[in-house]
Amino acid sequence: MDEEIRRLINLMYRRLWELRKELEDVYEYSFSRITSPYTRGPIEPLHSIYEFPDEYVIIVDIPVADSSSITVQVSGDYLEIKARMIVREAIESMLHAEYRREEALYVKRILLPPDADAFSMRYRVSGGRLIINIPKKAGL
Amino acid sequence: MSISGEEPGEDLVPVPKREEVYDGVVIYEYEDFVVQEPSYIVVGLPDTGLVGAISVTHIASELGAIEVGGIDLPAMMPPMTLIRKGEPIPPIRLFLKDNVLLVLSEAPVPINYVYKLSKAIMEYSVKRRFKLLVSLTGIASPSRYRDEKPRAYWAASGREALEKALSLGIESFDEGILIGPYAVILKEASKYRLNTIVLLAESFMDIPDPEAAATVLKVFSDLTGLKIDTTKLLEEAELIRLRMRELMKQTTRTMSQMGKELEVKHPVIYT
Repeated sequence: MDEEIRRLINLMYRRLWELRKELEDVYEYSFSRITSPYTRGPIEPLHSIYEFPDEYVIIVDIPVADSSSITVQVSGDYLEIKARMIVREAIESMLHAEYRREEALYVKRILLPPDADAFSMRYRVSGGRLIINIPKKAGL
Repeated sequence: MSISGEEPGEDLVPVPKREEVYDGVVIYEYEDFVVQEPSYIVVGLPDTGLVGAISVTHIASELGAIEVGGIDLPAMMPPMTLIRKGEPIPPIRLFLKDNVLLVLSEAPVPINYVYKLSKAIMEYSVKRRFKLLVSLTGIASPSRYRDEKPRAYWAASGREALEKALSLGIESFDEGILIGPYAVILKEASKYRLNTIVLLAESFMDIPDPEAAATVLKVFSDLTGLKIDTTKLLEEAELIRLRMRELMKQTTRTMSQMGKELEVKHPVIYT
């Protein structure tokens, strides 16, 4: 009986998380139509979340980011990711090549699944992609 | 003097010489052109990981293909027009080099045009007597983040296409579901007696994936015998991902409307 109640509670939490995520996606979509890509400011990187039996894997696309500047922090129910991006674009003219240096900040907030054990996460950077492994909490 | 500072007639958007309408889809040709044999029409529409769009853009760049036409979707939703040098251009562009006609879209195909566009491309391919219609795309894979080198698969329709596909030395897309324009092309090609191959590489779903595009291009080179060097594509992968971020965001929304997340490569029915 306890097992069944725990299962139902987990299902309820899960559904609430999905609804919250859907609402945030709608908000993000509406907001991005106003601000992007015509305004300067932090860039919100693209991301994907994969669910495996024992963990979640979050891929955050941060091309040309300075890997030493990456921070990944847990803030309440969210994962907050920041990284500095440096782009040096060559501008070729008839006489010489010069470089324009542009800097921007990647900022991303991701709502964590309810059974994600974010304090046990580990991350690495590969080819300009931040790969975050978050184990699932045991017993949920 | 025009607004852009150019003299009229200099480098302007070409005027269509011929246009054909297929169920509301308009295909323009800017000049008379002959596609050499064996002729291939290669489709790269924004889709999973933008693999098709990145691949076809790279082929056009590597081959030095020239723009010979375009495809317009007049009643696309949301209503939009692409502008270049102050003039409207069709959202889908046609590039030609010798025996290869490239179909490259600069915007995701709206869901209300998936069938119409797919059928227009097939009818045009039949009319122009293309030997093979090749679609390049990605297939979302949860294991993609672990793989340095994504795997490639094929799916084909038509006897000659199947023979070619079997000689590629890669796995077939043996069981699963495809969703989107390539699915329509693959399913309907036999009705048009058209030989078609879909080349798929495992990729991220909603993150641009130039590495997956390089995998598909390697198979495309084997298929057609055309040498497509992917060194530059891989070297500039991160910058390409940065540039294609907005297109990926738009494409993700369209894929979501299409139910693209249901696309899988595994048995659909368990027995």
